[in-house]
Amino acid sequence: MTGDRCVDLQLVDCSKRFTQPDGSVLGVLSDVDLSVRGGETLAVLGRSGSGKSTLLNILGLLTDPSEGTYLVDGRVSHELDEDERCRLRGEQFGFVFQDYVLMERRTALENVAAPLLHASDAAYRNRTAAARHMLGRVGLGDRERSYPWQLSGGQQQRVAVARALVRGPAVVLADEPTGSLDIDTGAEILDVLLSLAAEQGCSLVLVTHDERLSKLADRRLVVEHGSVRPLADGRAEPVLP
Amino acid sequence: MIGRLLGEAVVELRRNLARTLLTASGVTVAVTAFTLVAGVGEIARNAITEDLEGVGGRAGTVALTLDTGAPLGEVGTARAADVMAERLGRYEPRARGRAVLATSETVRRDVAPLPSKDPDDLPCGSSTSFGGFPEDSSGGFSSGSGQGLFFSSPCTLPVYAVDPELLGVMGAPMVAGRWLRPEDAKSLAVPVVVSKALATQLRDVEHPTLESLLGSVIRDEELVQQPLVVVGVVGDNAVTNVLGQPGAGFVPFEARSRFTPTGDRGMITAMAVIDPAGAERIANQAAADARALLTQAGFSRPAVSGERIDEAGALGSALRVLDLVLLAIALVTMGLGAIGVLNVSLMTVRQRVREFGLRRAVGARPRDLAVLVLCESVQVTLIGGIVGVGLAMVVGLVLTLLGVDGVRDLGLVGIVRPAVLGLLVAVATGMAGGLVPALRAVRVSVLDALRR
Ligand SMILES: Nc1ncnc2c1ncn2[C@@H]1O[C@H](COP(=O)(O)OP(=O)(O)OP(=O)(O)O)[C@@H](O)[C@H]1O
Ligand SMILES: [Mg+2]
Repeated sequence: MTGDRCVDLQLVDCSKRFTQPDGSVLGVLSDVDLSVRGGETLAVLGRSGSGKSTLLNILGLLTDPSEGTYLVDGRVSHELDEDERCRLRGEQFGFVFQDYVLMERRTALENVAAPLLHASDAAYRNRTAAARHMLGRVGLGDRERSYPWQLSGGQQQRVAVARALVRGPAVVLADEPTGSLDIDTGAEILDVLLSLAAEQGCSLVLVTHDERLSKLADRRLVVEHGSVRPLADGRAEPVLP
Repeated sequence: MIGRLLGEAVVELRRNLARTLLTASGVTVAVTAFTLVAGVGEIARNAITEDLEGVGGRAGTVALTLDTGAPLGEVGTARAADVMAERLGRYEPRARGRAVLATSETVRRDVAPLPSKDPDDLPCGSSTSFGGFPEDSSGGFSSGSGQGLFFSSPCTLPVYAVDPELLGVMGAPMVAGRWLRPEDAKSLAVPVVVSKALATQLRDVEHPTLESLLGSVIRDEELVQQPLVVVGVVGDNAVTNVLGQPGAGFVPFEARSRFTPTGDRGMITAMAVIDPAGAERIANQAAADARALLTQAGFSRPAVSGERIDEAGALGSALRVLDLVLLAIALVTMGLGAIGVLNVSLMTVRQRVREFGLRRAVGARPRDLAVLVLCESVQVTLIGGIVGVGLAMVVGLVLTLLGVDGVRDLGLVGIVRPAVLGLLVAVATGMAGGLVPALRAVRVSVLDALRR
């Protein structure tokens, strides 16, 4: 959980197309060049349906680009077999999904601890304490025995954030982690996410609709018409009072 | 990793109690039904086998026979019998033994035969048709406490000296009393087991039933040196009939010289039960081998014949039908159980595909998912299966207590084999059911799995 594990991600000329049920091909991303340096925070903006989640999924090895090369720490993504992908996903990436994806029959604590099932022996033995610590950091220390259906949307999102960070990943990929929160709570969560990322020295790729929140990131990108272009640098003005 | 996944499986099962119980109870019902059917089937199978073997002999019974025409003497007989038994013993026999025709004499009984409605039913035919003994012969007598049996209507009494193991070869049921034991060779009066056909001939007014013959003494002063004590009655079947016509007596092999001073009669047989497939060929082969060995050992042109002597044709087909019926019932019950398990697991497939997608996103490999599912299935089906076996035992016990015919044997022991089988099938079913969502989650991309 130290800052020395800098994993560089690099997309080179990447395109992503989907074949629709009627056979027509939908181009979502085309010729995207993008690199994420270890430790930096990146905000991704863009309209709904522009391809933000798709970009994140490629970065997180959940899907491959249709064309082009994706390099994870110097390794070509489409040369990895499924076992290696799973290992990399577990060790290097932490996901916060747009719709949380919590396990229904598991308590908040168990959901947070889930990634540690595949971690080292020491981390596995220590999983409950680690999960409890993380839940405390996202402000849910008193809800560890609650099931997802007993939590509000925002609380579920915070459980998802804690789960993404519990194994100390090199890169956190967060898909609208503040989408269902009011502006203050959203900022709070983002603050937690940013400070935890800074603490652990991990990169953070953050998809958000919120122009103001995006300014908390080191760098801002906009996905538009299939391409990704930079926006004026973030951290210009503070959002929180 | 397995340990971690086992723990995870336990949590999964506890948290999804409804699903767990539904699956387990499906397995329970199937295993109970299967175990009962298989247990009853086993009893039926044994009963049918016993009945059929009682008539046709055990499947795969082969015999080597050396017909010398003249007595070989004490040593020669034992030698020849040993050689032949040894030849047959090479073919992984399930049972084997030696037999020697010790005496075959026409004897008479002097007690009035039981009145019979049908004159043809009279034992030993008419009183004049067999020669050798005048009507007024007083060959038999009573002495001491034993009641002597002897024959006023002459009939043939072939006596075979046999290894006690030969009962296992013959496969004939004991009708009364007991079969020969190894220690019988040393007892003072030579024990004899008579075949049912002979016992029927021996019945008279004083010995109206087969049981009442037990303990009585067969004497014939001229021919049988020592009295023979009847200790048992054995049924006739295709194999016992090969040793002479229906109706024979069996005495211990080692004791044969004690009651027949004239020596063995020159019919020496070794029998064994072997794999029915190729039994004829093996019998011929063993006969040729025995001929060669006996020639080497100094017997001049030994006439050894080898043949298969059981009549197991009917036996095979009857059991095949039973097996088919049982297989059908077993398949149907297990099929129903499998449908139940699959139904439950398909109900939860959608939810689980998403869960498995998430697990893959946080580092689970496809094989981890498969192992997780297997851990869950094995636990659930084992629980369901063990309860099922327990239930089957209880049902078996109740049927036993109620005294339902034929269920007496369905004790705790008889149920073990079908129970183990049932459990295995149940576990296999559970695995198949649980693997469906796991395979689906692995086949679709992680992303698609997460979106379900
Ligand atoms: N598996 C798929 N099959 C077909 N089309 C897809 C698939 N996944 C995404 N798309 C399409 O790709 C486009 C981009 O989707 P994506 O989810 O990346 O958008 P987004 O920018 O995250 O939108 P939002 O802000 O609403 O989450 C959409 O038009 C979507 O319909
Ligand atoms: Mg999206």
